[in-house]
Amino acid sequence: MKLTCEKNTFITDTAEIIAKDEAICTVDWSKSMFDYARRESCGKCVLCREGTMQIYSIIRDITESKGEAEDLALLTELSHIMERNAGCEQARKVAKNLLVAIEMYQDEWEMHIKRKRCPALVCRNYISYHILPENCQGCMLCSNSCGKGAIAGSEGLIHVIDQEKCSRCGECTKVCSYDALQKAGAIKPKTPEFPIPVGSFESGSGRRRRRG
Amino acid sequence: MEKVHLTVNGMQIAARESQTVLQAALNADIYIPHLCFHPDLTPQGGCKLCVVEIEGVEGAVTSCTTPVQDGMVIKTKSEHLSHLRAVALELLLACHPADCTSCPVYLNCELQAVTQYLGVAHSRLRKIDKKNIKINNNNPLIVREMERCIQCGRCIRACLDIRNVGILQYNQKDGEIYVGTEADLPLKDADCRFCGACVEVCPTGALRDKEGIFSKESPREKSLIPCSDSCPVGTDIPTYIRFALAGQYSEAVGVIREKIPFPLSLGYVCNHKCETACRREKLNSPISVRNLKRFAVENDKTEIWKSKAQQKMAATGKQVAVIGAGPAGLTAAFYLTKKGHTVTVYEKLPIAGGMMAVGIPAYRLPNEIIDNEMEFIKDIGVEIITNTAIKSAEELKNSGYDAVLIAVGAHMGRSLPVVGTGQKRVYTAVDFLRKISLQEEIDIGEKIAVIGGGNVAFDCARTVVRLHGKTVELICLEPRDAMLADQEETSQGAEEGIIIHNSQAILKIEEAQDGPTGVKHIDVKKFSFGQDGRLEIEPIEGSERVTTADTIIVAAGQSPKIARDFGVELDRANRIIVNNETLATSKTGIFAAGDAIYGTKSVVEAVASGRKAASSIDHYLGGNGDISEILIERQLPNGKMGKKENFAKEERQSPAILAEAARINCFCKVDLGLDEEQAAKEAGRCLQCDLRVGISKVKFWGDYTYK
Repeated sequence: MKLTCEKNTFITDTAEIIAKDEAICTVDWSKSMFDYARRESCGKCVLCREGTMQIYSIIRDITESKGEAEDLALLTELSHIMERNAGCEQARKVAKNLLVAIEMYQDEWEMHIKRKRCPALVCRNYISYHILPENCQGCMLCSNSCGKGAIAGSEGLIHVIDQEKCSRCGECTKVCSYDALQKAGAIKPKTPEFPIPVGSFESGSGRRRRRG
Repeated sequence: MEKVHLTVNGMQIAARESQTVLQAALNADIYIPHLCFHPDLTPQGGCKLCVVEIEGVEGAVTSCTTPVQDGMVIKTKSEHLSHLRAVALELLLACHPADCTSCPVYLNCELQAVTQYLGVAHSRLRKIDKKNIKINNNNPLIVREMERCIQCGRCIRACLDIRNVGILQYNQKDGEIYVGTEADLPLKDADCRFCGACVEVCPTGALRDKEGIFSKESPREKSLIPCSDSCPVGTDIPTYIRFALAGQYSEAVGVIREKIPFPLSLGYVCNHKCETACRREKLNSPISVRNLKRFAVENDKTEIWKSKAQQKMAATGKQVAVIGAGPAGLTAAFYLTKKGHTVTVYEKLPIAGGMMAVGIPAYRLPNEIIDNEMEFIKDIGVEIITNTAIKSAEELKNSGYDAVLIAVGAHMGRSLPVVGTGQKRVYTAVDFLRKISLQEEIDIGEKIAVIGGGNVAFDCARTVVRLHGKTVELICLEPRDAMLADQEETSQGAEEGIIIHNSQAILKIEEAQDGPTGVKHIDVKKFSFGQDGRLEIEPIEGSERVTTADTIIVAAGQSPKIARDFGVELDRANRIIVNNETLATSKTGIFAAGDAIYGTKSVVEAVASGRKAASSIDHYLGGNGDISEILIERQLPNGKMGKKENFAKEERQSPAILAEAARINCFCKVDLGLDEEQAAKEAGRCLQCDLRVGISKVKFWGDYTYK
């Protein structure tokens, strides 16, 4: 049982977010930070116990297409209150980090909330995975690695991802030796609708050449 | 204690050095919103509602955790503070149901009140539905509806700080924080002491007492202690149980004696409403209060209450006559004597004690116990004149008494229409028991039938068993599981060889020249009482049979035996009509108490009635009517009961019972009482409901002058 909130385990410095590169999504980074913080909260102080939970919920919504126009202002307001008045260093710190993240990368937040896009291609709701027909060799490594059975295709056929089934876990990207797996945001590559023989995809017209 | 001075919202207030800013302000009748603060608990500073601004200190500080300092200048209201409070409250409300009106504590909820005060609405924040609120929500005595919990931690602190039990804590599961027990064990398995402190301090409707545990008729302070509340004389039961636990038996007796002049008799025969009301009943089984009382009295070596109990007020010169030396009359005589009046008790029978002596058989209440308790009453100056029947209360009063109390009991046994009375070897229960008790000549045969199924029927049947070589059968209307007698009476009676015929209606008594030969009865399918109170029976045709018996005893209730020319107004059931408040009869200066006014109840009811009569008569004679007394000075009980392993599973201790072979054919006492180890165990089972009364009541914002 934790009765004190003296643990100060989440010492992510604001430097980390200030110096972040394009591969880091600010919103996702913030969400992870608050998910961690809510699990570490001792529960005594409302600003930490409910504040981290509330902020986590709002950010999660933002990553799941459920963000609302007022959310950014709300996050800022809550973080300000938390930063100044929370009972422990940890809660004040995560709130301060969030304020920096919002101030520095406001555009990124706006993209998530208004345009439902994640520029860093991290937030799963805003990305999709595709198999580039030009690169795919029909080796089946990716379809075997998929836990959801979302990749169709057999040996020698260009594999195709069923976007309905895909959970966007990214496991397939790790096994492909041909650089055929691609993560996409708003602009998606052209792919066949169902598996066709390797080498038979016409990229230019987007139309498939039929055999026989 | 050093005094300090501070300024709150421009007002000068004084405070003790040890106080916090919040305590100082609330003491000065200045309201600062708060929720996780409770006057009896260590402050946590968690709800943030009590924030204030202090001159020279940056930002807002929680006033509940800030000690006062001389010269502090404090502001409790500002735009910034309002905003902070509103956000904190909104965060709490985000995980709390929005609909107040369906909540059992609607309009009696601290959260609702402070929400109203701060003007905050359920709102713009995300609704948080915690998943862990359903854990461990089915417990005895305590309702836990954790969807209403705001995790203020007051229950956690009450359990730890003021009870030293500490089984509640903040739990974490799946990123949610909730209040629970270690490993989410049910309260019973977590070694909860079920003291109710957590319920008492809960500011919302999350923790509540289960419906029906506390009486709604008494004021809250009383109803919280169901044993004392249900006791007709209001004995301070938790206190004497606590003394008994500490081995301070004499102190325990002193506490009992504050209300009862016959503690040992009642330790044997009280019908213990306290045990029926005991909260522990809902956990496993009630505290054996009566046995603890008996144990305390039988192990009181020092009688430290005695000199105080013997104190009398200066003589008033008033003369009071009491008619009837039963528990009601003697109780009244005892207290009237202590109030300085001269009391003479007239008893018709050759011995004093009333139904305790001639109604309750000696194997349940040995005669020497009544005699000993009587001695104490005589010692303080009550004169008891036996063998003296009074013909008229009015004449007695006119013979030189300032007041008369009629406490003649209910000594006329009722019979059944089909049985009648007065035949040879047909007796009512009261007559039979009285004759046996007084060792009078009585004509009984060899095979006895007792008609009736209550405790008195068993008193008769079990008395017969003790009269060498007689057999007895008991015939009663109720089925076995609905018999009116206590369970221990039916089971012990059966052990002693009493044959019990259940669900029987009596048709007639078979008679020959020299007395009855049997009872004709019939199986009853069901029975009920009609609107006019008449018994309606549905018999099973053709099931008539005869139980042979040469002697019949009818235990069908009893009523007062008062002649119409006794001098007071009687009702149809021959009971004396009195004013319920004063117990005054239709004749000035004549009062009545006990069974004579309400029919048959119990010894403890008679004591209660006697006390009431004493108070009323003292008042009538010019006194203040106050017969309350403190024989044992109380210390504030130590509420820090601590955790006790398997507390909820501790079983009620049963007294040793004399073996059947040893108890038939003699009037030796059957119930041998608890031994010291059992008494300690039993006293240790008490939930100590009285501790809850000692928890401070919270005030709402409307109660403060400056808000």
